[in-house]
Amino acid sequence: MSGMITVRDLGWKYAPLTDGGKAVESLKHIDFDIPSGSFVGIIGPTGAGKSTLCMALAGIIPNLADGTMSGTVVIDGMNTARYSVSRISEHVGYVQQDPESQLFCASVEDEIAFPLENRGVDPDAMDRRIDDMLELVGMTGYRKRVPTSLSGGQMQRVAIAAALAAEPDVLILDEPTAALDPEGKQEVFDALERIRRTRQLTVVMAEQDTEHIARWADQVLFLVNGELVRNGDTHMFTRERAMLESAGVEVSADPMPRIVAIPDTFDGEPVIAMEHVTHRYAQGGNASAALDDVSVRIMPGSFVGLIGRNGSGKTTLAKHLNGLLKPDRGTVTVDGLDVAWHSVGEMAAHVGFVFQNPDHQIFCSSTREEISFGPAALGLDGGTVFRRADEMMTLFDLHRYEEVSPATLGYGERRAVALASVLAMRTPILVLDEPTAGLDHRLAQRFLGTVKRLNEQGTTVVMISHDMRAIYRYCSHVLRLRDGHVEQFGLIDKSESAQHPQAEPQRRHEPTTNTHGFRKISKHHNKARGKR
Amino acid sequence: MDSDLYVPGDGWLHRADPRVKFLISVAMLVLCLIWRNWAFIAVMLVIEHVMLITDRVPMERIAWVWKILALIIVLIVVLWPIFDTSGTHVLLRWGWLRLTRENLLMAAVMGLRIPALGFACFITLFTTSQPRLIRGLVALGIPYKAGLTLATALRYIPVFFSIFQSVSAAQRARGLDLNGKVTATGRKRNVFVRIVDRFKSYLPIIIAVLIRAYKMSQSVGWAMESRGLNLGARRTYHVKLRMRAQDWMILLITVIAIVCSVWLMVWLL
Repeated sequence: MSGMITVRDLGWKYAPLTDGGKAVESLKHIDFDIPSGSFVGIIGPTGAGKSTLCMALAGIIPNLADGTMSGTVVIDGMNTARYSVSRISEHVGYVQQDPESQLFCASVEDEIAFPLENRGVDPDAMDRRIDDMLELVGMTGYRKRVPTSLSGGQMQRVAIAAALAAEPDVLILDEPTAALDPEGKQEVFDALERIRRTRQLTVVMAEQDTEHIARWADQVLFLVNGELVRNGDTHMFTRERAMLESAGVEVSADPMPRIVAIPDTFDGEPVIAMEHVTHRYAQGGNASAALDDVSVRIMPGSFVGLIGRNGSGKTTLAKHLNGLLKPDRGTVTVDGLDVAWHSVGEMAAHVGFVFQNPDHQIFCSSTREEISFGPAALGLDGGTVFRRADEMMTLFDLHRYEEVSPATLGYGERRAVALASVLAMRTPILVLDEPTAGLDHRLAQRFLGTVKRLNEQGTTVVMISHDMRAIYRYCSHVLRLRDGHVEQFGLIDKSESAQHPQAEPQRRHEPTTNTHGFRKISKHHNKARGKR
Repeated sequence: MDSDLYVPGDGWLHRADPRVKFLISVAMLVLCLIWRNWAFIAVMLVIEHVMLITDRVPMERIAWVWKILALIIVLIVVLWPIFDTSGTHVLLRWGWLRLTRENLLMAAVMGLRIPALGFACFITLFTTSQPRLIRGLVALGIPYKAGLTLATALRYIPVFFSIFQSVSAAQRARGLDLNGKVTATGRKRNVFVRIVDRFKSYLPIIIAVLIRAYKMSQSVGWAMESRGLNLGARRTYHVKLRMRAQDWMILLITVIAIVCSVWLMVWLL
């Protein structure tokens, strides 16, 4: 096996975001080799430099990003500093984390045609190539679809197909499944496995979720604070589990808990009552209702885990709780108020809402202002607002960013600001839409621990999440939605018998075997590549 | 609005060659801009609607155009006679306000012109998919990157619109009540305070959207580059353009219509 990727003494400093700011050192003295054909996992806590390393392997660093690089990266014999990203792309495919910002065409087929057009591939050969690529990622039949109408897992598979269309030898994936539900995650990994069986391909993947890495990777790189702490194989997950966990990487040894609801006894006045709620989106042309005759009564002091596949209506339900959406039919009563008759601004005193994407809820010019916005809008006096903001900044360790614009902070800190700015309002009800997506294990635990303490003091919490371990650990109730219907609602059964039911068929973790034969995509099709 | 400007479909305008559609749109834009005749602009507006309806563009999309232009149209019609006090046939005089037959007519022309110009653009934008738009522009000699930039910008308009909406929702969810008649502290708010508050609340949203747009455009740029945008090889195109007999027909009709309009314009002067 020959060396495909050689990295020597790699360092990277991001140019400061503001004038007079400090350069951020993101990678320090990184050395490693990757043999041809291997599957390499890059793991590490939030902010460890996983994305930055992926950018360096794709040539974005040093060619397009602002900053200073030291050391060398050689891929397939090319020193990345000497070639443009486009030239490097003949050998390296790159898939980013956010599907929305890397699918820039108006249809799936254009997305895959784009790299072929750039290489001057014969238009008559393109149609077959597009079909081949879509078959490879299991997306046959989606050619004409608009990328934004696809699910997250489907979008990432299209992005992988587009990256592979030019037949690179290396595929770099930067947390491609961070925003996906468990099924979407599985789809992406199945597609990758299928690709690796049909062709020689070196895969380098940054990933938060170590479960799949532990199963597939030949080599694991463990980054902390921009330094390569370990370079080994998957034995790392068993032998050095304590070290990984202390750094914030979750190592899942115990099986995924089964979430089973048992009926709850309802006595007393519910704090949230949804009666026969139906909601249909006016736009989008989708005829089926996003919520269909949903009736749920949530008691004060519950911690409800709201689960279900992407598109099952979780966010739609959550948005009814503070009036961002109004029911077409039925009533929603929250904290004694009929939501239909109150504005979102009025509901804000009763319901705190943390949105899925922290970037969509940060709009002030300093962290203190951001955290103070809610309490001030509730009409609290200046002294109280100031105290609340102080309290939150202490809780989330944000004092050093007090005067900094929150939009310029790292992902983990932006999440913290978003959560702090809602908690500062001290509402009796909290609604959290995937509050820990994209966070490492340690940060997620800290966030959820804070929420749990508030819950113990009487706050009612409704949390959307795909993380079944977190649901099992923190929530008292579970509400499972499926296609806009309530599939399950009740107390979470935490008894032993619920976890080990008899005669339960084990869920297969292997990728689904492909029954159809793969057309091996020959490298000869590509005229333009020739012998450059 | 949760989709592209392009309306998927298979009407006659959809099938028409993009170059012909560019000519139709540009001709309509220019004619409506240089000729200040309310009857001509009104006829143009009718023709534009007939074209879109016969192409089976859904009524909701046409209504959507009127909705986004409504505010501008109303503002122009109301403000024009206030600031333009020219004209000899005075109908009403009240202080500095001077309504004349001429300035009222101009207000009507301006009010009609806005939707006429808008629909002239949407004849192309509603019916031309992104790759055909780029292909058409390139076939007319416009550099590929300029075409790609334009098409990508159009593609991301709805994305930024939805970001704007979610940031605005986040503000309200944190207690900003723009429509309430009293503040959280119980103070009464009059109409003017409410309008000023609303515009003040837009400023941080726009900044948040710009930051997000900057990050996103950077990422899109990287994605394009890492798929070989600047490779320097001779580009090929997946979409093939061919002028069919129908396209030549449409082209001919368009040219005749342009000549007739210009002749009419000169003759009437």
